Amino acid sequence: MQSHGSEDLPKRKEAISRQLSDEFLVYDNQTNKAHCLNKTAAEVWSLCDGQTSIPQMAEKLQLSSDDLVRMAVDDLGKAGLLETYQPSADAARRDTLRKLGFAAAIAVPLVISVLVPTPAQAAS
Amino acid sequence: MAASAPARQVSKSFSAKLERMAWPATLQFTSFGVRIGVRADDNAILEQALPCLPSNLRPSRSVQVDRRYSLFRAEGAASGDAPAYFLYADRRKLAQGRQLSTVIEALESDVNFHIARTSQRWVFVHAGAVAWKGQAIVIPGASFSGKSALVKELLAHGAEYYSDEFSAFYASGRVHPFPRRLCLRDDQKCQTLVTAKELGAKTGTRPLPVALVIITRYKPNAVWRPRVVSTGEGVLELLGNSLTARSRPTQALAALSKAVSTALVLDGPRGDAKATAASILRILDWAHAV
Repeated sequence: MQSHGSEDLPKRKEAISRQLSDEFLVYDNQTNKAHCLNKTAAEVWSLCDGQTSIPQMAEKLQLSSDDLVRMAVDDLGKAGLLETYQPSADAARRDTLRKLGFAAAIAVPLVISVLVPTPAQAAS
Repeated sequence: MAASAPARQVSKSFSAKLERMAWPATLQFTSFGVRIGVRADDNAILEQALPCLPSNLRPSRSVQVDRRYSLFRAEGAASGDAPAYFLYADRRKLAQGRQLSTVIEALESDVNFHIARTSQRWVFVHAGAVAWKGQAIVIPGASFSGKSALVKELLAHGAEYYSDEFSAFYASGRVHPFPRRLCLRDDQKCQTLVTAKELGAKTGTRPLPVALVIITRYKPNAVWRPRVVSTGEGVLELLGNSLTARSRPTQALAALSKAVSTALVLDGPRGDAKATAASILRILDWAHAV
């Protein structure tokens, strides 16, 4: 579900999670998908409590702009890890990357997902 | 080839007939905590099946089992028809065929799959595994991705055999041996089952920590130039090939995260298995040295 209110308050879904050294693994029981969140995506995901706005998240993470947070929220939403979020336009990610430049690329949020198979699928 | 139609449940009357048959040869055992029974109407049949059952099996006296396999020979319907061998798993017919060896292949395959699917304390992943200098190399991947060819070449270079199809991970993250016969395919996709011993390799016995996870797929003419990927991507790859993760995600996440936490994860297509195997072992030796 996506919220369409004036203020976007992303809320994470209930899921099984596990911290690795600088990544976060999330397993969604409803979709049977496992996700690997890099540090930036994981920090944003932990702040998605349905009460914190994107600018507030940026402030808590001591980021000078909302762009990285917005990008992370988009990725998390597309991965199905948020109950509520407002998607940005498709061009937003490209624009953000251009704005941030190469130096900040290391902080770009990343969510990788995989469908966990049934036993029969896994054995084939 | 065993004429193995999709497994289907037999009628209650046939099931009762199975129970009334004489079973002079029986074996109950546990493997990875799963209780299995195998019975045959002839000692010679069970003796031929024994080498194809899990090597870590612990014989048990209990008649309570999670799954019981019945193997028997029946005469042909018409006089002059050759006898056939039949395999049932509980009340489901799994296979029938003129050759006992092909019916035993079906038994081996189903026993391994049943253990991997139902074991409660281990997490099973569709992956090959070998040991090199006391550490495990794990190669997850679907069938026909070229796992077995790579495992075979690693064994030829002196690695110890752990598994060809399903790798077993304990909560500690260590890999336990689950060695079934290697399933090798030629260019025409014809498969041959061979033991590690027949390939001149030793089979490991101790649980080992994972040093290397190899994410690869055979691609003709490719040269193996892998990139290092993150621990998380390594865990994700194992989860994507896990038989356990859907039913026990918390346990799978924990065991596989621990397993990969000590490992280097490499990703990239491979060409020739022999050259790739040599390269994998060089990388591992180099990683040891630094």
